[in-house]
Amino acid sequence: MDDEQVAGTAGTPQTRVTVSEIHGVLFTVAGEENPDAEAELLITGLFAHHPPHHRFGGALGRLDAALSGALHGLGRDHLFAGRRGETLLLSAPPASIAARAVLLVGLGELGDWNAEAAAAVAASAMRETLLLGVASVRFAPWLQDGGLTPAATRGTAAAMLAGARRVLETRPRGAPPPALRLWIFAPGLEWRDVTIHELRGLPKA
Amino acid sequence: MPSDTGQSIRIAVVDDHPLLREGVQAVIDGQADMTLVGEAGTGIEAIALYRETRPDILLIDLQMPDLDGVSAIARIREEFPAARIIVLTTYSGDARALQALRAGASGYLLKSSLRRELLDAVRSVHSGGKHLNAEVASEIALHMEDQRLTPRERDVIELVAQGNSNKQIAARLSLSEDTIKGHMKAIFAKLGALDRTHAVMLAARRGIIEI
Repeated sequence: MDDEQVAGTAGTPQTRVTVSEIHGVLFTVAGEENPDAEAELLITGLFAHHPPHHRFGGALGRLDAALSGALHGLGRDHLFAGRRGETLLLSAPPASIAARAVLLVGLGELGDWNAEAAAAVAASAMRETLLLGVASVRFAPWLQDGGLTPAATRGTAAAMLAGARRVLETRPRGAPPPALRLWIFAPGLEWRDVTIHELRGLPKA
Repeated sequence: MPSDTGQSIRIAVVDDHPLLREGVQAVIDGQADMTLVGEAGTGIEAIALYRETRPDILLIDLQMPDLDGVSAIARIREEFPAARIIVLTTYSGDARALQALRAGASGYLLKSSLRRELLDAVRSVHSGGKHLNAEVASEIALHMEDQRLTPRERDVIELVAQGNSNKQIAARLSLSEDTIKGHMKAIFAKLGALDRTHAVMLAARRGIIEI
C-alpha cells in the first residue's frame, strides 16, 4: 500500500493512495473532489425522496451545476427515483466533465443507509462498470453532499470496497478479463483520511 | 466486447431511413455480444416486429410514417411491459424526450451520438438501467419549473405553426377569437416567447410541436 504523487487535472499534485488490488484492478483513494478529475467514468450516487426544493451541497452540487441541474431535474421528474442499485448513465457530458459518461447509482432511502446498502450500491456500480468496459472509474458517492450525516457514513468505505470486490471475485468462469484497471474512491476531501484508514483496516487481497 | 454470460443481446431497429438502419447494423455487427434480429421502417411495423422477434432491445426513431415513435412505444409497452426500448432521434428537446420516457422508453440517444454511446446505451438498458444523453437531461432540468402547455394550447400553437391567424384558429377549433387570444397569451407566458414566430420556434425546438 503505497502513497504516490499523481497530477490532478488543474495541475496541482494530489496524493493518491493504493488500498487494494484484485484481479489486476487497482483500488485507490483520492482526496480531490473536482468532478472533472480524470477517469473514463464518473460514478456518483443519489438518495431517494429529496424534499422538492432540496439543493445538493459540495462536490455533488458542483457536478449538478456542471450538468445544468440535471441531477436534481431527473429526480424531480421521476426519471431517476434513487432506488437502491438503480442506475442511469448520462452520456456525452459537457466538456467541463472529463469523464466520457456519468453513472448515477441509486442509494435508496437516507434512513435505510447501512453497510449492507453501501455494499449493494458499490456492487451495482462495479457491475455496470464491467459491462461498459471502461479502464478507469472515479467512484464518488458524495454521501454527505447528498444529505447523509457524518455519523451515518461510518463503515461505509469498507463495505463499498467489499461490495465492489465481491463482483470481481464472483465473475463467471471463462469470462473475459475485465478492461477495468483503476477504481478511484473519491469520498471528498474532508473524509479522505477517514476513508483511507477504514480501507487500510481490511485484509490485503 | 464479449459478455460475461456469453449470451448475445438481441436488437431490433426501427427507422424510416434505410441508411440509418444500415449504420446501426454496421455498429452492432462488430460486437461479439450483440445481434441484430430485425428491422422496420414505420411505427406500425415496429409493433409487428416486436411481436415477432421479442428483441432484448428495441432501438426506435420518433418521427415515422403511419404511427409516431412515442405512440409505438406506448403500445409496445402496454402489450409487453418488460420491453426495453431506446429512442434514437434527432430531437434534443425536453418535451419530446419526456413524452418518450413517460411512454416507457428506458434510453434516449441523439443520432449525432458516437458509436461508443450507442453501445453503452444498449448494454446499460439491457442490464436494467436507464440511459440519457446529458444534453437532453439538462434540457429537461432547465424546463422542469416551467408550466406545461395544456393539450388545447398545443393544438393552438400547432395551428399557428401552420400559418393560421387567430380568427382561422377560432374557426377550426369552434372557439371564439377572444378565447384563442387568451390561449396565445398563456402560450407566450409559458414558453417565454416574445411573439408568434418566437413561440413557434421555441415550441419546435423543445419538441412540443413538429414542423
